[in-house]
Amino acid sequence: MTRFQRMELWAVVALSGLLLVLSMAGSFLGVPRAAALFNSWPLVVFWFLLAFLLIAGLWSFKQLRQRPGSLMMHLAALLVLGGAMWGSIRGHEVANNLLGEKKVPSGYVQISEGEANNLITSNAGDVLGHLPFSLALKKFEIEYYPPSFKPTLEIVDRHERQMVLPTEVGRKFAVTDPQVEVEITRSYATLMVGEDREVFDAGGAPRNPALKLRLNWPSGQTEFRYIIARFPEFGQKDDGLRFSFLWPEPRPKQFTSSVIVNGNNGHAVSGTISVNHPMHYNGYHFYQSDCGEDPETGTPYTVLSVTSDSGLPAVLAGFILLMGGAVWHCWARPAWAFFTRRRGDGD
Amino acid sequence: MAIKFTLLGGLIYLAMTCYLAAAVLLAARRKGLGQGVYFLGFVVMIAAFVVRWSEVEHAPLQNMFEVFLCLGMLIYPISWFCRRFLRVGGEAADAGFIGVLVLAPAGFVFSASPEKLPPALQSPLFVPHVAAYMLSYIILAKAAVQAIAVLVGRRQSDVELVSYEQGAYRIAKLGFPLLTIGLVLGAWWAKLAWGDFWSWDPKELWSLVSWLVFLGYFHVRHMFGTKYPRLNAALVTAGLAAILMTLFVVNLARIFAGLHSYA
Repeated sequence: MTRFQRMELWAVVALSGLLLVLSMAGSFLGVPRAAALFNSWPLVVFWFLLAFLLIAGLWSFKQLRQRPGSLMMHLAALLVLGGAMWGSIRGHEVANNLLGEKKVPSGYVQISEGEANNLITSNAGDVLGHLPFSLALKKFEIEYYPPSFKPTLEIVDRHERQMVLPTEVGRKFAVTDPQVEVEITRSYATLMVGEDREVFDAGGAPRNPALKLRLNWPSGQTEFRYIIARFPEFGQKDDGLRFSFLWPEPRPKQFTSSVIVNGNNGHAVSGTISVNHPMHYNGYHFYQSDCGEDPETGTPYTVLSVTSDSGLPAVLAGFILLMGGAVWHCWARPAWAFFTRRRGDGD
Repeated sequence: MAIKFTLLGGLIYLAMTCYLAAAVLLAARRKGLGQGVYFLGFVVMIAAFVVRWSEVEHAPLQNMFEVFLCLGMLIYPISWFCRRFLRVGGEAADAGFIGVLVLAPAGFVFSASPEKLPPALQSPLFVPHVAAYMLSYIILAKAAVQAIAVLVGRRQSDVELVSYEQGAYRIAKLGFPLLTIGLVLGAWWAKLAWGDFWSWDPKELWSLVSWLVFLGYFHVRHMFGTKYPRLNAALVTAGLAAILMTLFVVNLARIFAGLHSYA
């Protein structure tokens, strides 16, 4: 190994070490600050230096070029670095200035059901730009897992004895200590309290499931209590009884937005976007990010994250080369040596 | 810390007992019997993995309990492979040290309550990404045990096996491509699920740290070969420390809030 090559290797080790230290430090900063750190101008210089050293290494180390595994891994690192830089915020700034593009690197599009939008905003709602086409939301759906258990009423008495009971309206249960008869008089999917303090069921999908209980005490006194699944402390009294309404919280299985893309050329394209299944159109990828309901109208809306596809092919090619190169270098060559009874690499 | 009075808990404790017994027998040079008991522990772990799979109705690689269950199952085939193809021993340490240590969190610490897969985890990349990482972690843990033997000044007495330094190198070469595949598939999956290959999340950063430590190790070993065995061994051990940080501390310490809170 020549002195230049050794220096180069030391430089790579030093830069890798610096990246290692920065990564450790970045993990304590939280995602936004870490992202800002790694996208800052000093780090842009760092990434260019790393790319330069990789190119210099490929040029000066003949061994690197002759061994397919090593060559693939180093080319992969270059491709990933190049692709990531091209797709980064800084990369977009440069491309927009040089090529006159108006591509937004990433952001969010919020669309209500039955409406269309092309406004890209930041997470905080600031306008970042416009898509060169609009997206209309045909329908937003949430698919749920079947509930893992039936809703139940749990009663714990003074001696910590537990009774788990079905929540059928009209069912009565006798508790011995303290002695009382408990009757379920009503079940609510969405318990709400009106302006006149009257309690009513808003219906629809269960958003505040609750039970109304009547307690018939031996003294003849009758008492009503509301037991709310999501507010277990509500309705509890210091009388030796504890009620809990165990409600199987629905677990979402998938979120799906059915959209129509209205292009500038007048063509409309339908598509669906769900978690892990993004949609690609005209230089952008759309991902299912969030959802909600308009508080006034109750209309569902979807939030799609939008990402420019700049640099994507280079990064993906780099990924494939990196995996292939590592397997080739670390496994294929020694395996070949083992099975042909030759001496393994570097042994 | 809680004992699990379930079939799954029983299988985990039985496997731990087998691994401990195998370690004692192998250390006492009762090779045949030790290997047999070690294999029995592996069979028990396969049964535990199958039971868990049928309970949760998806590949049990979702949470910390399932991850450690998987790691406990993988140690035997790795030990066998390393001896058969790489001429690296250390089965007593694998069973008694790595095997028992990775099963202890599953047996006593983490909750086994089954969970449904959230939408983000319903991806064809879920199993290959996590499986590649689990395999690489257990392999690199074995590499680190060989490296620790170098650091404490032990010498390989079995002439059929390579030196501890050479053993650590061979095993690290076995585990590094899997670590790379895990990292790349994770980035690819993040792109499909969240739109970004990389979010500078603590888990991602520490998995990059683990990868960089091993990358540094291979470069240093390329530069100096076996001239500085303790430096090589220290780097492999540091790699394991970074893996432990990624697997344990980042998930459990509240200072590391990120996107991988379910992992």
